[in-house]
Amino acid sequence: MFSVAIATVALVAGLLLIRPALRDVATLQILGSTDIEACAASPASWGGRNGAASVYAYDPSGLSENPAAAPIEPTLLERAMRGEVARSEEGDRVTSVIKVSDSGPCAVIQGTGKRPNFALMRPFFSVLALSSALGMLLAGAGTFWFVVLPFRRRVEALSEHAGTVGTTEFARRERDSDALGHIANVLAASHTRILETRLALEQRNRALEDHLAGIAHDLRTPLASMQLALEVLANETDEPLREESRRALADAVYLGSLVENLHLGTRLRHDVGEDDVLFDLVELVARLEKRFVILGRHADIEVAASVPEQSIGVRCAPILAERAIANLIQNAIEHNAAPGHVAILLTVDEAGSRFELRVEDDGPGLPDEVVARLDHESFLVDLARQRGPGLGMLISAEVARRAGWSLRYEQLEPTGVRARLTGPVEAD
Amino acid sequence: MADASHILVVEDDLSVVQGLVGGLQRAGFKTSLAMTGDEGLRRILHEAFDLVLLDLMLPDKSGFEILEAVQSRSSIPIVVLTAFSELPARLRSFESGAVDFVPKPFFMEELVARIRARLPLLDSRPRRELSIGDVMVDLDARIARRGDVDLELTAHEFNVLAYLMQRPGRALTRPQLAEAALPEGGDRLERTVDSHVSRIRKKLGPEAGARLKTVWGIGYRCEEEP
Repeated sequence: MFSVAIATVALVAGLLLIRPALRDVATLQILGSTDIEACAASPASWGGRNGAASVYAYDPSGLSENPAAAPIEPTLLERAMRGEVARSEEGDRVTSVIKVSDSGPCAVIQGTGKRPNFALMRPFFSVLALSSALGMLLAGAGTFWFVVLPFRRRVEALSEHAGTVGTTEFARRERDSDALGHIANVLAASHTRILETRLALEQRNRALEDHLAGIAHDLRTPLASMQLALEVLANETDEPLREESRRALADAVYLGSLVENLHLGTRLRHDVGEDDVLFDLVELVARLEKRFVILGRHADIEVAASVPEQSIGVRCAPILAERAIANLIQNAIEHNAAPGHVAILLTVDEAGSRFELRVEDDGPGLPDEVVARLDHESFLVDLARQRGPGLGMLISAEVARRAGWSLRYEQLEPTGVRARLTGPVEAD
Repeated sequence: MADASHILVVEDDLSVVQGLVGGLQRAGFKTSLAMTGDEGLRRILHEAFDLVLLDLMLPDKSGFEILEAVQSRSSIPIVVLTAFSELPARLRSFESGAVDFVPKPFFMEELVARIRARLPLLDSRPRRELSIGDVMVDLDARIARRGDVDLELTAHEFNVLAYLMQRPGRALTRPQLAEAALPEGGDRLERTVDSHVSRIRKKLGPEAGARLKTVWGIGYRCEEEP
């Protein structure tokens, strides 16, 4: 609307400026018209002069009955009689001759006048072009400044706004009732819905987490009692009951690990992490060795660990690290064949900056494709479908990833698997 | 020494109590039982025990309350035994004075090892004369002898044997043994360690030699006295 007003103002201003120029042009026009009938009625008095312009009638031979008529140029007459519009210019004078009939005193008309001075019109066109350009420029600038820029600012604000939907940074600012205002309202409604959904999901996750923690807690006490009883049976009864007891003990231990892994897996999946702290990896590995030596003995798998004399400080949530390493050792025992071996070697490099924990077994090993897959498993994708032994390996990989460690598996020759966990040593 | 130690078990779950008390007694400990928090606290404060095994979840009083009540009034080492495994429970236990934290389920054998590690030692001086089977090794005199007969170990053989015997039950890698027991700049190859151990076994004889075990994937271990 505003731009149309600007354009109109510019056009009116342009017209006012060119009015004098238009007046000059009018004075240059040849006056009168060629009324042939009036000429035939009174050829001696037809025609005349008005300033620099004149018009007279002639017969086919070029003679005029009006004594004031100027002689006609023979060449112009000849060309006119041939049917052309004969025209000659001399200085600023222009003479035109045309034939209107084949005979009679008014057969040919000669008009003389001044040529229109186009140089006088040049300022008119320049002013017109300049005014138009100025008008368009003003209209464009006005449109850009008062319409496009505010619209763009609103779109940009809305775009930023859309990026914060569902976050604490979201704040409704758009109040207009136009299309952008409508979009802002839709975003605000979406934001509210997202917050409500998120709150509901968080509450559900918390409830599930509490429920699972409760189940895990309630299972640990009967598992402890079962494990203690089976340990006695496995140590003190005679064959073949001892063998059965050992298998049951291994199952009880596996059940305990499964409870811990499921609990931990769910916590990790919902990103309910534990705080990282600095702890001694040597102490942890030595403690796990004691536990798994016993499990290994019952399965006829010799488990031994070698740890350095000095402590190795690492940063990770201790419970996660314990579970991750316990899973590696337990897998090595469970996937071995009796009589077998599991070696746990913890070392630091010469610079004392990185640790390496190797868990090796001499069992039947894993298929190459499984080893390759373990190196590239996606915790969140695969956790959903893992329920059995693979869960422990997934958790180990996820814990390593979160701690900034590396966990790789490789086949050993002639048989066996090596899990290699490496990471930075942290100073106190 | 540790087998005569008196342990108070504060636990309310009967099925766990049965396995726990039986296991402790089989390991040679004398045991007493308290099945409520109040009883446990009273007995800790008024009776003499060498160590307390304390469950955190008791019917009348939480294990944390007992720990806090005992903290400044008794020096008895308390090992927490619990179905809680999360870090906050561990931290609070240690902050309240527990000396160890054993999450359920557990192996009796591991618990016994942990208890023994926490019991006060009668003599904590480093042992300078050690035995392996029927062989005595004097670390100060650098002599290994069976009866009065010197086994004539070389300096390097003695170093390797002493290093293993000073760390009974621990698996040691060949590089660890080489670095600790063999001279720097000398022949520290893994096969050098193997040949030293082989000669040591021969010199020790079948009984003592058998106590130097080869550990698959690692190296060697000197087995603890049975």
